[in-house]
Order: sequence, then C-alpha cells, then structure tokens
Amino acid sequence: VKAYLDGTLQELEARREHLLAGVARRPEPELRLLLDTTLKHLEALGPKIAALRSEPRYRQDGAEAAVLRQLRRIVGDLDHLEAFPVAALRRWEDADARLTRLVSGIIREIAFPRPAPVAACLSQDYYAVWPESHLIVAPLTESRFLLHVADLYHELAHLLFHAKGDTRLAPFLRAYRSASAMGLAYCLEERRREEDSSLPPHSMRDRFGLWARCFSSWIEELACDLFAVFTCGPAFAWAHIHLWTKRGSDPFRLPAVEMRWHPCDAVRLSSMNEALISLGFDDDAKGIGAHWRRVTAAAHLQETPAYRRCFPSDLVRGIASTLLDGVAGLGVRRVEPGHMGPIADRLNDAWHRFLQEPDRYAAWEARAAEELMADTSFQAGRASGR
Amino acid sequence: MGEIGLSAGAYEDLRDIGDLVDEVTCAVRAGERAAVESQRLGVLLAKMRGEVPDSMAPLRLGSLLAGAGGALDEWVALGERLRERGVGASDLPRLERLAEVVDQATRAAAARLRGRGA
Repeated sequence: VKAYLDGTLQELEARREHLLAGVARRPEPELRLLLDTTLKHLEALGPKIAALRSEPRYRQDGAEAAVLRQLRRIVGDLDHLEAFPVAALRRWEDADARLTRLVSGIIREIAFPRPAPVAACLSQDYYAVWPESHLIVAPLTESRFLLHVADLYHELAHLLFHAKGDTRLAPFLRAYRSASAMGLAYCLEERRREEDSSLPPHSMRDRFGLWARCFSSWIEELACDLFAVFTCGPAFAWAHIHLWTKRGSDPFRLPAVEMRWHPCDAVRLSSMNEALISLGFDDDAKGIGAHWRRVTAAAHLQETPAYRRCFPSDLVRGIASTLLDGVAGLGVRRVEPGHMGPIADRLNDAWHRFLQEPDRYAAWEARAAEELMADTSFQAGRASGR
Repeated sequence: MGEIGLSAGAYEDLRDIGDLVDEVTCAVRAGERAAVESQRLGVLLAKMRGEVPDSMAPLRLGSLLAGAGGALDEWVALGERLRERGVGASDLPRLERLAEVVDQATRAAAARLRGRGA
C-alpha cells in the first residue's frame, strides 16, 4: 500500500502545481488578500506532500493510516481551493465586484472590526464562507435580489471566529465559550441522568452525547445569527424563514446518528426572536413568530418531545442573552427601530414591501437592487428610518 | 434552512488539529521527540480547560471529546504530559483514538462542504 499511497501523493502534487500555475494574478486591490492567501495556501501544501513522501516517520510500517488521513485532508484543501478561491480569481466579473462592494459598505456601516472579505457569486448551493481564504460565496444571481442579502451579515460573523490574536474579539469569544459551556453542561448532565435511568441504553443517552459534540458548532451558528439580527434587524429573521420555506427540512428535527453542523431552524428562529425583543423590535418579533407558526403548520410540522428535551426554553433564552452580550461587546453598530444604517434600512424596507405588496415587489426590487449594488457612497453613522 | 449555508471554519480547525495529531503520532511511533509538535498539541489539549479562548480550535476539540465519551480530564492530562516531557509509546493508543475522533468529525465536515452527508 505504501507504493500506492506514494503514487497518489505524486498525483496530488501534480494537481497542486497545475492549480498554482493557473491562479489568475489579478490586479484589483479588493482581491489582494484573496490572491495572497490562495497562493500561500497552495505553496504550503507542497512541502506537506513532500514530507509525507520522504520523511522516515511517515514511511515506517504502521504509519499508513495517518498518511491516508493526511492525504485526504490535502485532497479536501485542493478541492476547496479549486472550487472557490482559484475559480473566483479566474472568473471575476461585474456581479462579484458589485457584491464585494456591498460587503465593504456593510462593513463600514456596522463598524465591523475585521477587513472586508471578497464576495463571489459562484456558489452552487447557498451562501457560504471560507474564513481561511477570507471569501464569501453566494448564488450566481444574488446581486440582482435583496431578500436574502441579510445572510451576508451572518457569514461575516463567521470570520470573527477565525481571526487569531485580535483582542477586540475577546468579549465575543468569551460569550461563545460561556454559551457553549451552557449547552455542553446541559447535554452531559442529561446524558448522565439517562445513564442512571432504567431505559434502554440506546435511548436518549446516546443522543445527548451526540448533541454535546454538536453544540459548539450550533453555538457558532446561533452567535452568527444573533450578530446578523443585532446589525441588520428583522430582515435577517425574515430571510431565515424565507429560506426555510423554499428549501428547508423539518425545523424541529435533531440528529440521531451523525453530527449536524447547524442547529435546527426552530431554535435558530426562537433565539433570533429573543434578540429582536431585546433590541426593541417587539412588534416585528410578534409578526415573525406568527408567520413562522403559520408556515410550519402549513407543512404539518410541530415541536417534538426530542426538540423540547434538547432545547428547553430557559437554556435557549440564556444562550441567546449571553451571545447577544458578546455581540454588543464587539462595539459594532446595533440597529434599533427607526434607526439603522442605509443598507440595513434598505434590506428591511425590501422585506416590508415584499410582505405588504408581493405583486408589485419584483419590479421595485429590480430597481432597488441595482441602486444598492451600484452605490459606493454608503457611510457608517448615517441614521435613517422607514 | 437546516444545513443550507455553511462555514468552512469547522473543517479548517479540525483539519489543522488532525494534521498535528498525526504528526505527533507518527513521531512517537518512530521514536522521535518531535518537541515542537508535541508542545503545540499539548498546549491545544490543555487549553480545552482554559478560561478565555484565543481561538476556536480548543473549544471545538473540547466539545468533540466531551461528547465522544470518556473524561475530558484525561485528555487534558495527556496535554500536560505532552507539554512537560513529551509522550511515549504507552500513549500511542490514546493518540490513535484522538486521531480517529478528529478524523471522523473532519470527514463529516468535508462531506458537508461538498454537499454530501450530514
């Protein structure tokens, strides 16, 4: 198997060299960070592959499993680099520039404490973020629409988790840690109680163990949701419902066997509504909650006993409150009813119009999206209201 | 929304942890000291109990190991040994177990990024 693994590593090296040679060295200033990180990443994989092929520690008998694991991780990196950063640089076009400009506007408006990432319209799925590459990807036509743009705020928040050594982020990370500890402690305690019970061992005990493993990722997602609510307002919660309506699965479903990286949609919406109430958007929270109940009822979906066990109300409230304090500790601009920056205001206005006049919305959106994406004059600190 | 929309952050953290664990495991198996890598892994494991995180990696790993069964204290103790004097062949099974737990989670994260699996 050693010879086979060695041949596979040579194949990966050829792929890496080919990708490196194919990176478009674009001159646009906004692409500098993406270009640098992409080149650096590809260059760093060379010595890694060489080490696996030549160092005695990897050539010894018994090291094959470890070599295979590392080889697969290199494949994962090459897959990612090829599909996103290298592709973004190679096919950079007007839609990408428009979305990237909007992200820069958001960053100025909310006083985001980190550099602006590149936003490229090349996702084949939905919004996603690659923190290491400082890259957000969105669907191809996203720069023509407004209802899901609030998701950019959520993706920006993910970057905060992966900025190493920035002391400004300490309150946010501390809150994350506290909230994770709450979830973890709850799951481990419940698992212990299940062990003490006379129920069969495969019942809830194993599920609480699984949920405990998921919780740190779930809390990251919830923190990003609350960051988006704090900086963009109700538009983000509406976007969440809208995405679920179009593409979501059972919002109360919890993992039973394999890890899931996102918490279920119901708990996400529940914590968003807690945040909206804290920010003074009580009426919006009421409307969003009622709409959520209507659409889930239309799909014949409702809370399950497992959902209630995993996410008791007190736990959700405590986690949301802790995370919201952490977001506030970042010093980013919070939205309030009647007082939000021009971009957040436009996104909330879009939702208002969509809900009030769905028949006339498309024509309005076409113009409004064009104006928003073309506008380079957004300034942080300019308050406006609907 | 479910698993729609994603961050590669978990994958990136787990990948780096997995690389580090495999480096140390192979070094121990080969009878090398690998002082730098052992120290880094030791610090990472010990930080799972730290108060203020300076990165996500120890938090993510702590949650993963706590949910995987066994006491977190034992992993932290392994971290302390790694920091103080390195580990020997007797720690290999525990390092292998660590590598497997991290690899399983990494593969799940990678599959998710490629639109397959959870």
